[in-house]
Amino acid sequence: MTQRLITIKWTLYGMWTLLFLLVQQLVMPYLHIAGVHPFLLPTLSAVAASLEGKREGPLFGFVLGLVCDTLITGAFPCFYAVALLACAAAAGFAARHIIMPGLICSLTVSAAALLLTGLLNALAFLYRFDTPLRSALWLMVREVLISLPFSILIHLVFFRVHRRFTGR
Amino acid sequence: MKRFIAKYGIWLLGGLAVMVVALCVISALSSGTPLLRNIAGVIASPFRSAGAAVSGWVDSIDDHFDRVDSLQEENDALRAQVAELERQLRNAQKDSEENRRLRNLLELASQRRDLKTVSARVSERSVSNWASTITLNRGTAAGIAIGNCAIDEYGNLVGVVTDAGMNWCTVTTVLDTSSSIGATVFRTEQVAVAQGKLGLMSDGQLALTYLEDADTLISGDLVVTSGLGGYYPAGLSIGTVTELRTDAGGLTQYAVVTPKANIAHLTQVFLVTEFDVVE
Repeated sequence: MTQRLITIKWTLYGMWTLLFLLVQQLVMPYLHIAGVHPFLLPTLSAVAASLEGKREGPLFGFVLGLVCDTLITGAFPCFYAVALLACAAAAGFAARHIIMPGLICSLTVSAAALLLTGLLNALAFLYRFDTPLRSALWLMVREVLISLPFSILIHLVFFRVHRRFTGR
Repeated sequence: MKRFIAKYGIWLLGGLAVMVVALCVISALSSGTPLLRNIAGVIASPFRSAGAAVSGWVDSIDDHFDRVDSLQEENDALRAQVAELERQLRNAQKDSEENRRLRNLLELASQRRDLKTVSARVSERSVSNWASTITLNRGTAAGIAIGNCAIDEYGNLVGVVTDAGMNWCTVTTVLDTSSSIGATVFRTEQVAVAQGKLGLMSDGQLALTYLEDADTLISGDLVVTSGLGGYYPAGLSIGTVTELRTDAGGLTQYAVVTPKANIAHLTQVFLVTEFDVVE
Protein backbone atom coordinates (compact mmCIF):
# COMPACT_ATOMS: atom_id res chain seq x y z
CA MET A 1 0.00 0.00 0.00
CA THR A 2 1.37 3.43 -0.92
CA GLN A 3 2.07 6.15 1.61
CA ARG A 4 -0.81 8.16 0.22
CA LEU A 5 -3.32 5.33 0.65
CA ILE A 6 -2.10 4.67 4.20
CA THR A 7 -2.62 8.35 5.02
CA ILE A 8 -6.12 8.34 3.55
CA LYS A 9 -7.00 5.15 5.44
CA TRP A 10 -5.91 6.49 8.81
CA THR A 11 -7.60 9.83 8.09
CA LEU A 12 -10.84 7.91 7.54
CA TYR A 13 -10.30 5.96 10.76
CA GLY A 14 -9.61 9.27 12.51
CA MET A 15 -12.77 10.91 11.20
CA TRP A 16 -14.98 7.98 12.21
CA THR A 17 -13.30 7.91 15.61
CA LEU A 18 -13.98 11.63 16.02
CA LEU A 19 -17.64 11.03 15.20
CA PHE A 20 -17.84 8.20 17.76
CA LEU A 21 -16.13 10.46 20.33
CA LEU A 22 -18.78 13.12 19.73
CA VAL A 23 -21.52 10.49 20.16
CA GLN A 24 -19.83 9.32 23.36
CA GLN A 25 -19.66 12.85 24.77
CA LEU A 26 -22.97 14.26 23.61
CA VAL A 27 -25.38 11.31 23.37
CA MET A 28 -24.22 8.40 25.51
CA PRO A 29 -24.36 10.18 28.92
CA TYR A 30 -28.12 10.45 28.42
CA LEU A 31 -28.59 6.72 27.62
CA HIS A 32 -28.69 5.48 31.19
CA ILE A 33 -29.49 1.79 31.52
CA ALA A 34 -29.24 0.15 34.96
CA GLY A 35 -27.39 3.23 36.24
CA VAL A 36 -24.63 3.18 33.59
CA HIS A 37 -24.23 4.45 30.06
CA PRO A 38 -22.42 2.82 27.11
CA PHE A 39 -18.66 3.43 27.00
CA LEU A 40 -17.17 3.20 23.50
CA LEU A 41 -13.53 4.25 23.86
CA PRO A 42 -11.93 0.83 24.61
CA THR A 43 -13.98 -0.71 21.79
CA LEU A 44 -12.74 1.90 19.28
CA SER A 45 -9.15 1.14 20.15
CA ALA A 46 -9.55 -2.66 20.25
CA VAL A 47 -11.52 -3.05 16.99
CA ALA A 48 -9.10 -0.81 15.05
CA ALA A 49 -6.13 -2.77 16.42
CA SER A 50 -7.72 -6.15 15.64
CA LEU A 51 -8.14 -5.10 12.01
CA GLU A 52 -4.90 -3.19 11.50
CA GLY A 53 -2.38 -5.39 13.27
CA LYS A 54 -0.16 -5.21 16.29
CA ARG A 55 1.93 -2.16 15.29
CA GLU A 56 -0.42 0.48 13.88
CA GLY A 57 -3.22 -0.59 16.25
CA PRO A 58 -1.42 0.18 19.53
CA LEU A 59 -0.13 3.46 18.07
CA PHE A 60 -3.72 4.40 17.19
CA GLY A 61 -4.85 3.39 20.70
CA PHE A 62 -2.11 5.44 22.31
CA VAL A 63 -2.91 8.58 20.26
CA LEU A 64 -6.65 8.14 20.96
CA GLY A 65 -5.83 7.73 24.66
CA LEU A 66 -3.79 10.94 24.69
CA VAL A 67 -6.65 12.82 23.01
CA CYS A 68 -9.09 11.44 25.60
CA ASP A 69 -6.77 12.38 28.47
CA THR A 70 -6.86 16.00 27.35
CA LEU A 71 -10.67 15.97 27.23
CA ILE A 72 -11.71 13.61 30.03
CA THR A 73 -10.44 13.17 33.56
CA GLY A 74 -9.42 9.56 34.15
CA ALA A 75 -8.87 7.56 37.33
CA PHE A 76 -5.21 8.63 37.29
CA PRO A 77 -3.05 10.89 35.06
CA CYS A 78 -2.70 9.50 31.51
CA PHE A 79 -5.26 6.80 32.37
CA TYR A 80 -6.73 6.60 28.86
CA ALA A 81 -3.32 6.58 27.12
CA VAL A 82 -2.30 3.59 29.24
CA ALA A 83 -5.66 1.81 29.11
CA LEU A 84 -6.30 2.21 25.37
CA LEU A 85 -2.69 1.31 24.50
CA ALA A 86 -3.05 -1.88 26.54
CA CYS A 87 -6.44 -2.64 24.94
CA ALA A 88 -5.04 -2.15 21.43
CA ALA A 89 -1.90 -4.21 22.11
CA ALA A 90 -3.98 -7.08 23.50
CA ALA A 91 -6.47 -6.89 20.61
CA GLY A 92 -3.66 -6.80 18.00
CA PHE A 93 -2.03 -9.85 19.58
CA ALA A 94 -5.34 -11.73 19.79
CA ALA A 95 -6.22 -10.99 16.15
CA ARG A 96 -2.82 -12.19 14.96
CA HIS A 97 -2.37 -15.32 17.07
CA ILE A 98 -5.68 -16.44 18.59
CA ILE A 99 -8.75 -15.49 16.56
CA MET A 100 -9.24 -14.45 12.92
CA PRO A 101 -10.24 -10.78 12.44
CA GLY A 102 -13.99 -10.47 11.90
CA LEU A 103 -17.17 -9.78 13.84
CA ILE A 104 -16.56 -12.52 16.45
CA CYS A 105 -13.01 -11.29 16.92
CA SER A 106 -14.20 -7.67 17.30
CA LEU A 107 -16.80 -8.70 19.89
CA THR A 108 -14.23 -10.74 21.80
CA VAL A 109 -11.53 -8.07 21.83
CA SER A 110 -14.12 -5.39 22.69
CA ALA A 111 -15.29 -7.40 25.70
CA ALA A 112 -11.67 -7.96 26.74
CA ALA A 113 -10.85 -4.24 26.29
CA LEU A 114 -13.88 -3.17 28.33
CA LEU A 115 -12.93 -5.65 31.06
CA LEU A 116 -9.32 -4.44 31.03
CA THR A 117 -10.37 -0.76 31.30
CA GLY A 118 -12.85 -1.69 34.05
CA LEU A 119 -10.19 -3.59 35.96
CA LEU A 120 -7.76 -0.66 35.73
CA ASN A 121 -10.52 1.64 37.03
CA ALA A 122 -11.40 -0.81 39.81
CA LEU A 123 -7.74 -1.08 40.88
CA ALA A 124 -7.38 2.71 40.92
CA PHE A 125 -10.56 3.03 43.01
CA LEU A 126 -9.48 0.29 45.41
CA TYR A 127 -6.16 2.04 45.91
CA ARG A 128 -7.43 5.65 46.12
CA PHE A 129 -10.80 5.39 47.84
CA ASP A 130 -10.84 1.99 49.48
CA THR A 131 -13.91 1.15 47.41
CA PRO A 132 -15.41 -2.31 48.07
CA LEU A 133 -14.29 -4.71 45.32
CA ARG A 134 -17.85 -5.97 44.85
CA SER A 135 -19.16 -2.48 43.95
CA ALA A 136 -16.34 -1.96 41.46
CA LEU A 137 -16.81 -5.36 39.81
CA TRP A 138 -20.58 -4.92 39.61
CA LEU A 139 -20.14 -1.56 37.88
CA MET A 140 -17.59 -3.12 35.51
CA VAL A 141 -19.91 -5.98 34.56
CA ARG A 142 -22.82 -3.63 33.87
CA GLU A 143 -20.59 -1.36 31.78
CA VAL A 144 -19.38 -4.29 29.66
CA LEU A 145 -22.90 -5.61 29.08
CA ILE A 146 -24.35 -2.21 28.16
CA SER A 147 -21.42 -1.22 25.91
CA LEU A 148 -20.84 -4.49 24.03
CA PRO A 149 -23.77 -4.20 21.55
CA PHE A 150 -22.27 -0.94 20.25
CA SER A 151 -19.08 -2.77 19.25
CA ILE A 152 -21.03 -4.35 16.37
CA LEU A 153 -21.66 -0.89 14.91
CA ILE A 154 -18.02 0.12 15.39
CA HIS A 155 -16.88 -3.16 13.78
CA LEU A 156 -19.11 -2.60 10.73
CA VAL A 157 -17.79 0.93 10.20
CA PHE A 158 -14.11 0.10 10.76
CA PHE A 159 -14.32 -3.13 8.76
CA ARG A 160 -15.67 -1.15 5.79
CA VAL A 161 -12.71 1.22 5.96
CA HIS A 162 -10.30 -1.73 6.33
CA ARG A 163 -11.77 -3.66 3.38
CA ARG A 164 -11.73 -0.59 1.16
CA PHE A 165 -7.97 -0.37 1.39
CA THR A 166 -6.88 -3.98 1.78
CA GLY A 167 -9.59 -5.75 -0.22
CA ARG A 168 -9.83 -8.45 2.49
CA MET B 1 -90.04 32.09 -54.97
CA LYS B 2 -88.45 35.09 -56.63
CA ARG B 3 -91.50 35.52 -58.79
CA PHE B 4 -93.80 35.18 -55.76
CA ILE B 5 -91.89 37.89 -53.89
CA ALA B 6 -91.87 40.12 -56.97
CA LYS B 7 -95.57 39.64 -57.47
CA TYR B 8 -96.85 39.66 -53.82
CA GLY B 9 -93.93 41.15 -51.87
CA ILE B 10 -95.34 44.61 -51.71
CA TRP B 11 -98.66 43.20 -50.41
CA LEU B 12 -96.89 41.08 -47.79
CA LEU B 13 -94.79 44.00 -46.57
CA GLY B 14 -97.89 46.14 -46.40
CA GLY B 15 -99.75 43.41 -44.48
CA LEU B 16 -96.92 43.01 -42.01
CA ALA B 17 -96.72 46.78 -41.52
CA VAL B 18 -100.47 46.91 -40.82
CA MET B 19 -100.09 44.02 -38.31
CA VAL B 20 -97.20 45.71 -36.53
CA VAL B 21 -99.03 48.98 -36.34
CA ALA B 22 -102.11 47.15 -35.05
CA LEU B 23 -100.13 45.33 -32.40
CA CYS B 24 -98.44 48.59 -31.38
CA VAL B 25 -101.81 50.28 -31.05
CA ILE B 26 -103.19 47.35 -28.99
CA SER B 27 -100.09 47.37 -26.75
CA ALA B 28 -100.34 51.11 -26.26
CA LEU B 29 -104.02 50.90 -25.39
CA SER B 30 -103.73 47.89 -23.03
CA SER B 31 -102.75 48.43 -19.35
CA GLY B 32 -99.85 46.54 -17.54
CA THR B 33 -97.15 44.68 -19.42
CA PRO B 34 -97.38 45.25 -23.14
CA LEU B 35 -98.51 42.19 -25.02
CA LEU B 36 -95.50 42.12 -27.32
CA ARG B 37 -93.07 42.28 -24.43
CA ASN B 38 -95.08 39.66 -22.61
CA ILE B 39 -94.91 37.27 -25.54
CA ALA B 40 -91.20 37.94 -26.05
CA GLY B 41 -90.57 37.51 -22.32
CA VAL B 42 -92.47 34.20 -22.23
CA ILE B 43 -90.49 32.89 -25.18
CA ALA B 44 -87.12 34.15 -23.83
CA SER B 45 -87.64 33.07 -20.21
CA PRO B 46 -86.37 29.43 -20.53
CA PHE B 47 -83.41 30.61 -22.56
CA ARG B 48 -82.69 33.27 -19.92
CA SER B 49 -82.82 30.64 -17.17
CA ALA B 50 -80.53 28.32 -19.10
CA GLY B 51 -78.14 31.21 -19.81
CA ALA B 52 -78.21 32.27 -16.20
CA ALA B 53 -77.47 28.70 -15.11
CA VAL B 54 -74.54 28.42 -17.53
CA SER B 55 -73.13 31.83 -16.60
CA GLY B 56 -73.67 30.97 -12.91
CA TRP B 57 -71.76 27.73 -13.39
CA VAL B 58 -68.91 29.47 -15.21
CA ASP B 59 -68.91 32.21 -12.62
CA SER B 60 -68.82 29.66 -9.80
CA ILE B 61 -65.86 27.88 -11.44
CA ASP B 62 -64.01 31.13 -11.82
CA ASP B 63 -64.95 32.07 -8.29
CA HIS B 64 -63.77 28.66 -7.10
CA PHE B 65 -60.34 29.14 -8.67
CA ASP B 66 -60.15 32.65 -7.28
CA ARG B 67 -61.01 31.31 -3.83
CA VAL B 68 -58.49 28.44 -4.07
CA ASP B 69 -55.78 30.93 -4.99
CA SER B 70 -56.69 33.27 -2.16
CA LEU B 71 -57.02 30.33 0.27
CA GLN B 72 -53.62 29.05 -0.82
CA GLU B 73 -52.11 32.47 -0.16
CA GLU B 74 -53.93 32.72 3.14
CA ASN B 75 -52.77 29.21 4.06
CA ASP B 76 -49.16 30.08 3.27
CA ALA B 77 -49.42 33.26 5.31
CA LEU B 78 -51.01 31.35 8.21
CA ARG B 79 -48.34 28.65 8.06
CA ALA B 80 -45.64 31.30 8.26
CA GLN B 81 -47.51 32.93 11.13
CA VAL B 82 -47.86 29.59 12.97
CA ALA B 83 -44.13 28.89 12.52
CA GLU B 84 -43.28 32.33 13.85
CA LEU B 85 -45.66 31.91 16.80
CA GLU B 86 -44.22 28.47 17.57
CA ARG B 87 -40.71 29.93 17.53
CA GLN B 88 -41.86 32.72 19.85
CA LEU B 89 -43.54 30.15 22.11
CA ARG B 90 -40.38 28.06 22.30
CA ASN B 91 -38.36 31.16 23.16
CA ALA B 92 -40.98 32.19 25.70
CA GLN B 93 -40.93 28.75 27.32
CA LYS B 94 -37.13 28.86 27.49
CA ASP B 95 -37.19 32.39 28.88
CA SER B 96 -39.94 31.44 31.31
CA GLU B 97 -37.89 28.48 32.56
CA GLU B 98 -34.83 30.68 32.99
CA ASN B 99 -36.99 33.35 34.60
CA ARG B 100 -38.32 30.79 37.10
CA ARG B 101 -34.78 29.70 37.98
CA LEU B 102 -33.62 33.31 38.38
CA ARG B 103 -36.66 34.14 40.54
CA ASN B 104 -35.83 31.19 42.76
CA LEU B 105 -32.26 32.39 42.91
CA LEU B 106 -33.46 35.89 43.73
CA GLU B 107 -35.47 34.44 46.59
CA LEU B 108 -32.39 32.53 47.69
CA ALA B 109 -30.28 35.70 47.36
CA SER B 110 -32.69 37.58 49.62
CA GLN B 111 -32.39 34.79 52.18
CA ARG B 112 -28.67 34.28 51.76
CA ARG B 113 -27.17 37.72 51.32
CA ASP B 114 -23.69 36.37 51.97
CA LEU B 115 -23.64 34.33 48.73
CA LYS B 116 -22.31 35.92 45.57
CA THR B 117 -23.10 33.71 42.58
CA VAL B 118 -22.30 33.40 38.87
CA SER B 119 -24.77 31.64 36.58
CA ALA B 120 -23.47 28.90 34.26
CA ARG B 121 -24.94 26.37 31.85
CA VAL B 122 -24.13 22.66 31.79
CA SER B 123 -22.30 21.94 28.55
CA GLU B 124 -21.24 18.33 29.09
CA ARG B 125 -21.73 15.39 31.45
CA SER B 126 -19.14 12.86 32.55
CA VAL B 127 -18.17 10.39 29.84
CA SER B 128 -16.99 7.73 32.27
CA ASN B 129 -19.28 5.61 34.44
CA TRP B 130 -16.66 5.81 37.18
CA ALA B 131 -17.00 9.54 37.80
CA SER B 132 -19.83 12.03 38.26
CA THR B 133 -18.80 15.39 36.83
CA ILE B 134 -20.38 18.16 34.80
CA THR B 135 -18.64 20.70 32.60
CA LEU B 136 -19.94 24.29 32.67
CA ASN B 137 -19.61 27.15 30.19
CA ARG B 138 -18.01 29.61 32.64
CA GLY B 139 -14.41 29.71 33.75
CA THR B 140 -11.70 31.84 35.30
CA ALA B 141 -12.62 34.78 33.03
CA ALA B 142 -15.96 34.96 34.92
CA GLY B 143 -14.25 34.79 38.30
CA ILE B 144 -14.60 31.03 38.81
CA ALA B 145 -11.89 29.29 40.79
CA ILE B 146 -11.14 25.74 41.89
CA GLY B 147 -12.98 25.05 45.14
CA ASN B 148 -16.06 27.16 44.33
CA CYS B 149 -19.36 25.51 45.22
CA ALA B 150 -22.03 24.84 42.59
CA ILE B 151 -25.67 25.10 43.68
CA ASP B 152 -29.01 24.84 41.89
CA GLU B 153 -31.59 27.66 41.89
CA TYR B 154 -32.98 26.52 45.25
CA GLY B 155 -29.59 26.62 46.96
CA ASN B 156 -29.11 22.84 46.99
CA LEU B 157 -25.48 21.77 46.72
CA VAL B 158 -24.54 20.24 43.35
CA GLY B 159 -20.78 19.89 43.76
CA VAL B 160 -17.44 21.64 43.83
CA VAL B 161 -15.31 23.08 41.01
CA THR B 162 -12.26 20.83 40.62
CA ASP B 163 -10.87 22.08 37.31
CA ALA B 164 -11.18 25.49 35.67
CA GLY B 165 -10.11 26.94 32.32
CA MET B 166 -10.67 30.38 30.84
CA ASN B 167 -14.25 29.77 29.66
CA TRP B 168 -15.05 26.38 31.17
CA CYS B 169 -14.90 24.58 34.48
CA THR B 170 -15.52 21.06 35.71
CA VAL B 171 -17.71 20.46 38.74
CA THR B 172 -17.27 17.20 40.61
CA THR B 173 -20.74 16.46 41.93
CA VAL B 174 -21.53 15.33 45.48
CA LEU B 175 -22.11 11.81 44.06
CA ASP B 176 -18.52 11.35 42.86
CA THR B 177 -16.31 8.99 44.85
CA SER B 178 -13.68 11.70 45.30
CA SER B 179 -16.22 14.15 46.78
CA SER B 180 -15.99 14.70 50.55
CA ILE B 181 -17.81 17.60 52.23
CA GLY B 182 -18.27 18.59 55.87
CA ALA B 183 -21.95 18.16 56.72
CA THR B 184 -24.41 18.58 59.59
CA VAL B 185 -27.69 16.81 60.22
CA PHE B 186 -30.07 19.78 60.51
CA ARG B 187 -32.37 18.27 63.17
CA THR B 188 -29.75 16.82 65.54
CA GLU B 189 -26.83 19.14 64.61
CA GLN B 190 -24.67 16.04 64.37
CA VAL B 191 -21.49 16.72 62.43
CA ALA B 192 -20.48 14.19 59.74
CA VAL B 193 -18.94 13.92 56.28
CA ALA B 194 -20.99 13.64 53.07
CA GLN B 195 -19.03 11.34 50.76
CA GLY B 196 -19.59 9.88 47.34
CA LYS B 197 -19.47 6.09 47.12
CA LEU B 198 -19.00 4.03 43.96
CA GLY B 199 -21.77 1.63 44.95
CA LEU B 200 -24.27 4.46 45.46
CA MET B 201 -23.23 6.77 42.59
CA SER B 202 -25.12 4.92 39.85
CA ASP B 203 -28.27 5.06 42.01
CA GLY B 204 -27.83 8.84 42.35
CA GLN B 205 -27.12 8.70 46.10
CA LEU B 206 -24.23 9.43 48.46
CA ALA B 207 -23.20 8.43 51.97
CA LEU B 208 -23.08 10.30 55.27
CA THR B 209 -20.10 8.88 57.11
CA TYR B 210 -18.16 9.45 60.37
CA LEU B 211 -21.43 9.56 62.30
CA GLU B 212 -21.04 9.72 66.08
CA ASP B 213 -24.52 8.49 66.81
CA ALA B 214 -26.08 6.98 63.71
CA ASP B 215 -29.07 5.57 65.60
CA THR B 216 -30.51 9.03 66.23
CA LEU B 217 -31.02 9.57 62.50
CA ILE B 218 -34.44 9.08 60.99
CA SER B 219 -35.51 8.81 57.37
CA GLY B 220 -36.08 12.26 55.89
CA ASP B 221 -33.51 14.06 58.08
CA LEU B 222 -32.11 17.03 56.19
CA VAL B 223 -28.34 17.11 55.70
CA VAL B 224 -26.71 20.52 55.11
CA THR B 225 -23.15 21.75 54.68
CA SER B 226 -21.44 22.48 57.98
CA GLY B 227 -19.24 25.27 56.67
CA LEU B 228 -16.54 24.23 59.11
CA GLY B 229 -13.04 25.03 57.93
CA GLY B 230 -14.30 27.80 55.68
CA TYR B 231 -14.01 25.82 52.46
CA TYR B 232 -17.73 25.85 51.65
CA PRO B 233 -20.69 28.03 52.73
CA ALA B 234 -22.69 26.73 55.69
CA GLY B 235 -26.35 25.71 55.47
CA LEU B 236 -26.55 24.58 51.84
CA SER B 237 -28.90 21.59 51.50
CA ILE B 238 -27.11 18.43 50.46
CA GLY B 239 -29.95 15.94 50.69
CA THR B 240 -32.17 13.86 52.93
CA VAL B 241 -31.40 10.65 54.81
CA THR B 242 -33.00 7.62 53.16
CA GLU B 243 -31.71 4.69 55.18
CA LEU B 244 -28.94 3.49 57.52
CA ARG B 245 -26.44 0.85 56.40
CA THR B 246 -23.46 -0.90 57.92
CA ASP B 247 -20.21 -0.68 55.96
CA ALA B 248 -18.43 -3.67 54.37
CA GLY B 249 -16.27 -4.19 57.49
CA GLY B 250 -19.41 -4.46 59.64
CA LEU B 251 -18.06 -2.04 62.25
CA THR B 252 -19.43 1.38 61.40
CA GLN B 253 -22.70 2.67 60.10
CA TYR B 254 -23.34 5.19 57.39
CA ALA B 255 -26.51 6.88 56.19
CA VAL B 256 -27.59 6.81 52.55
CA VAL B 257 -28.47 10.34 51.44
CA THR B 258 -30.56 11.26 48.40
CA PRO B 259 -29.39 14.65 47.06
CA LYS B 260 -31.89 17.51 46.98
CA ALA B 261 -30.46 18.76 43.66
CA ASN B 262 -31.67 16.87 40.59
CA ILE B 263 -28.13 16.23 39.37
CA ALA B 264 -29.07 14.01 36.40
CA HIS B 265 -31.26 16.69 34.80
CA LEU B 266 -29.46 19.93 35.60
CA THR B 267 -29.19 22.44 32.78
CA GLN B 268 -28.13 25.53 34.72
CA VAL B 269 -26.22 25.95 37.98
CA PHE B 270 -24.94 28.86 40.06
CA LEU B 271 -21.36 29.00 41.24
CA VAL B 272 -20.73 30.56 44.65
CA THR B 273 -17.72 32.79 44.27
CA GLU B 274 -17.97 34.58 47.64
CA PHE B 275 -19.59 33.74 51.00
CA ASP B 276 -19.32 34.48 54.72
CA VAL B 277 -17.07 32.09 56.59
CA VAL B 278 -18.56 30.44 59.69
CA GLU B 279 -16.26 30.86 62.69
